[in-house]
Amino acid sequence: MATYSIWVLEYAYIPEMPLSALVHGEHNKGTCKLPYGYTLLKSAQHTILIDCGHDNAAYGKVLADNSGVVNWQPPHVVMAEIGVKPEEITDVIITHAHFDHMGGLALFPNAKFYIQERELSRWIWAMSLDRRFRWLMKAADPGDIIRCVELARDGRLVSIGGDMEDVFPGIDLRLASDTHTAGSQYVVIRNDGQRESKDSWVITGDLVYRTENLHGGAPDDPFYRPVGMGVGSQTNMVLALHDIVQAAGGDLNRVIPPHEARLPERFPSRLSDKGLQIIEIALADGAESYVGR
Amino acid sequence: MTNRFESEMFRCEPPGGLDDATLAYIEAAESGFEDLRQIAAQLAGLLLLAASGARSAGPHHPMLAVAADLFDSARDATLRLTPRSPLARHHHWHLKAAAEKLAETLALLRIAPADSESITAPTQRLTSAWQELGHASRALPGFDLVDFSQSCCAEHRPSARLAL
Repeated sequence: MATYSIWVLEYAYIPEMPLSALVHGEHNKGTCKLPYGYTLLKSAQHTILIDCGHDNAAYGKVLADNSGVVNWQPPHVVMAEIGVKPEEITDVIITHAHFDHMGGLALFPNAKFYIQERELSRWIWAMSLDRRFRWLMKAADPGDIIRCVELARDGRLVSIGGDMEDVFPGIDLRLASDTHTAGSQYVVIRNDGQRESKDSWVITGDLVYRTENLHGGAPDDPFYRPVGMGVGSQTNMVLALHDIVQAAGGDLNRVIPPHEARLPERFPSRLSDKGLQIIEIALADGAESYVGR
Repeated sequence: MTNRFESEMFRCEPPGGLDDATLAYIEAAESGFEDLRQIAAQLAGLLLLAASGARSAGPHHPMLAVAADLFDSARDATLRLTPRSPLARHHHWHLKAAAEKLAETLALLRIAPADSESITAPTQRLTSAWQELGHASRALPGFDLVDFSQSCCAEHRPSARLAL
């Protein structure tokens, strides 16, 4: 029995990203594609998004010129590939407050947004510091905070205080403090609804970019290797990687990093006519496939 | 490489490049722009605390004093700028408008009780200030609203800042 269909939906990408940014210590090892994506969970009762991408109206030029982000498509185009409209999204879980995960707040007009309280409070704390500390604010968009104010005023912002089980049926949020960001969280989907699940999936946010973060590049003698960027502790990142693998029942294939370009090699997928990947991680009982399997 | 959907829309440099007067203005205005951006972020944080019902929210919050101090110097620096080209004057107009809206936001936050009911007016002023900063960031190169260098697109290329 599977409760949720799970899709990772690519909405933009960087064709050539230095590997060293994604896997700690991989300097001068070349580049790889970096997809930007969000994850959609759909059950009979809920239509949930994990992260909401960014709004190209706000960032398009800077991202295109400085970072090589190409082929951004709006949610109504991306989600149409699986028959969902942005207005149907009722809940969005924000893994962390970077622009490419949180910058699309305004694109989902009927959603409630769930973010760790620590992520917001440490963000606010960083703003109060002298400008010499501004590195702590990198990749965070003050415009997103303004949008958060409006969401909070309207009762559409839910701040989470640490781990939370069954935020929706079978879905747990886990805080990974002081890792990629101060209050990153990852999402555990127990798709059989059981507390001791035999069908769990973990959506990692940016705690994992590539499978190498999970096995270190040595699948036969694996070790945890953190992502190449973060404001927190590398040790905490390694410990979080272990927790993530445990939550996935020890099966690395059940750890889903939306930035991993090789997900289409592991799961049924197809390319949209816009050139973006639709990756079908799981199908709920009786649900329709949108990748032709 | 360009983003085929946005690059033309946001182009802000004339085909022949920028003249010396505009380049000098950019160099002089950069720190003031960053300070105004920082103040906007601080005020947004204060408003978020109020909107969330945090007990620490309110006119007594130390970040309000920090923002006010920074604002005084940023406003002075903005008013001292001497734009000598049409592009620079256009940018300066947006910068002054942003400072004006931030001043209004600060004034409201100094008197407003920190609850979700009273944040509407300062949030509107702050949103206007942020929009003005956005206009300024698009009016000339070298003024970014978001620093992407710690994000997952960070290390693709060196920052496209001007060599002044």
